[in-house]
Amino acid sequence: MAERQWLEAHFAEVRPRALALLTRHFNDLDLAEDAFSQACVNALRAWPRTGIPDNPLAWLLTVARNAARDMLRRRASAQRTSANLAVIQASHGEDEEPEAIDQAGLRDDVLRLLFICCHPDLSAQDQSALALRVVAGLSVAQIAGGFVVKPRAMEQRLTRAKRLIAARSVPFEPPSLDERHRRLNTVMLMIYLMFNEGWSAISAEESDRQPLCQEAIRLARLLMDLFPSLPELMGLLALFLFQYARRAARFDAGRLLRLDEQPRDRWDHEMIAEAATLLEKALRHSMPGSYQIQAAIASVHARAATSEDTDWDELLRLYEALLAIEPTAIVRLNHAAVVAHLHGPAAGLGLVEPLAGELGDYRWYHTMRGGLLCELGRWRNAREAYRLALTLTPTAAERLAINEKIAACESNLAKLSD
Amino acid sequence: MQYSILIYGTEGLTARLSDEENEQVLKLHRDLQAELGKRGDFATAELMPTSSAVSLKPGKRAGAKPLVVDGPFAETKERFLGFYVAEFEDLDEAVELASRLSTPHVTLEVRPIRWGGGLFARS
Repeated sequence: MAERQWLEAHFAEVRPRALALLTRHFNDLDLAEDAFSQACVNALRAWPRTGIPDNPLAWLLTVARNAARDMLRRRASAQRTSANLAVIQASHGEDEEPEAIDQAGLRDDVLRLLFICCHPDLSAQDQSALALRVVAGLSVAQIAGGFVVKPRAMEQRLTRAKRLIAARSVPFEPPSLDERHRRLNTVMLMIYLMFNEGWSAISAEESDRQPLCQEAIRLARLLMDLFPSLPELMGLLALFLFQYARRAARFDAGRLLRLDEQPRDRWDHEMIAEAATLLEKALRHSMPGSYQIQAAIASVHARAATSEDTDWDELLRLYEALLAIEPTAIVRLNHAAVVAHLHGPAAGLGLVEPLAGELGDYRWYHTMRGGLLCELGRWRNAREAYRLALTLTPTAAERLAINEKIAACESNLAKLSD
Repeated sequence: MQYSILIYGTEGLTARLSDEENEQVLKLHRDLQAELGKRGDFATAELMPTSSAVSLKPGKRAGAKPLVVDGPFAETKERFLGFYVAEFEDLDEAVELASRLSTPHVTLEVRPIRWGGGLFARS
């Protein structure tokens, strides 16, 4: 049903704003979700007859508010609590004109909704899952698919997460400048981790549509729409787009391809152009930050017509800049990869090995170390590194690539012993 | 007379549709472009999302440089998504051809061109 797809696209587009406003109005996230669903059901009946209203958000809000009041009334008459009736009365009679939606207030309401999902007691994964459910409106099955877990397990985690955030009180007043930035940073980190989770979980079969990456991109777009002049947010969206542009080139016959092995004509060059524009816009502010530098790193790769054309000196400068503000083990590992490329595998290995303690559970640490050991002809050690990587739950595509490396090490070892 | 056909709609909708759905919309454009191509020169462009835009607003004082601000000119529900410019016999014909792009999800504005440069300079 073609028409239904379009209507659902409309619902999904307005959902974050609608839920933010309904949550402000009723201070009850579950009620807001139920009321919005009800409004969408009504719209599915009405819109094909009447056409899409001029302001879909206002239409859905009005219907959802009425639906929420009905739900509250039913609840109240079942429980006979006067508190609920007070809410109904308080929220009655202020059926504001659709056009009167206050844009400045709305952006903080949407941010607040996303921020609520980032409860500090929730794991990064559960924060993302909650935002996907509440803000993006994905089904439990879709979210479970994105995280590669069973739907039932995801259902339980979401139920627990919702209980936790229901007890959290985040004030509705517009936040101070500092508080707004704190919330934005928290939410951007959540979206960043959501994208990365999706990116590493993508399998060869579904490389075209990864819900986590797509929703992370949408959430970043939503935030940019609400907060159009934040350079780090532009950097974040640019980073996603640079990376996601490579989705169709990452696999070959089920095997994960390294950046230098990817057929670059399969990169999405329209998406790369948009990313480059966003990065340009961000850099005009001269307020560098981690996401902007990471996006700049991605742009160096995107600009190179072939792997050989990569500007490694520029990459080294950018990684050094990133190290200066974010000296984490992962950044140091990536920095080492650039050093290895410029100054040889021994130099790279010298920077990689001290990270063993921090990154011992990180499979990419072992595959990178394995690669450098191979370049040095230390096949036995390389094989050991790859075997360690295999024990750290690689995806099917990674497993294929790692097994190929192990086979190569073994054939080299066999040659040596001949 | 030269007319522009300006396309307005909700940003981000097409990214939520299946490839088949998008293909149907693209076909409307390809058909119109084939038709316009037979008649002479035309130009068309699809714009990137408004998040990629900057706007230049006049400086506060006289003689001041314009102020470059991030984002589109106006915060509106319907965003300017793309346009066509071509030569048409009259308004009726421009409306007829524009209507071939019509779907329930876009509004099309047909507006004559007063003056054109570059591709649209009149000989």
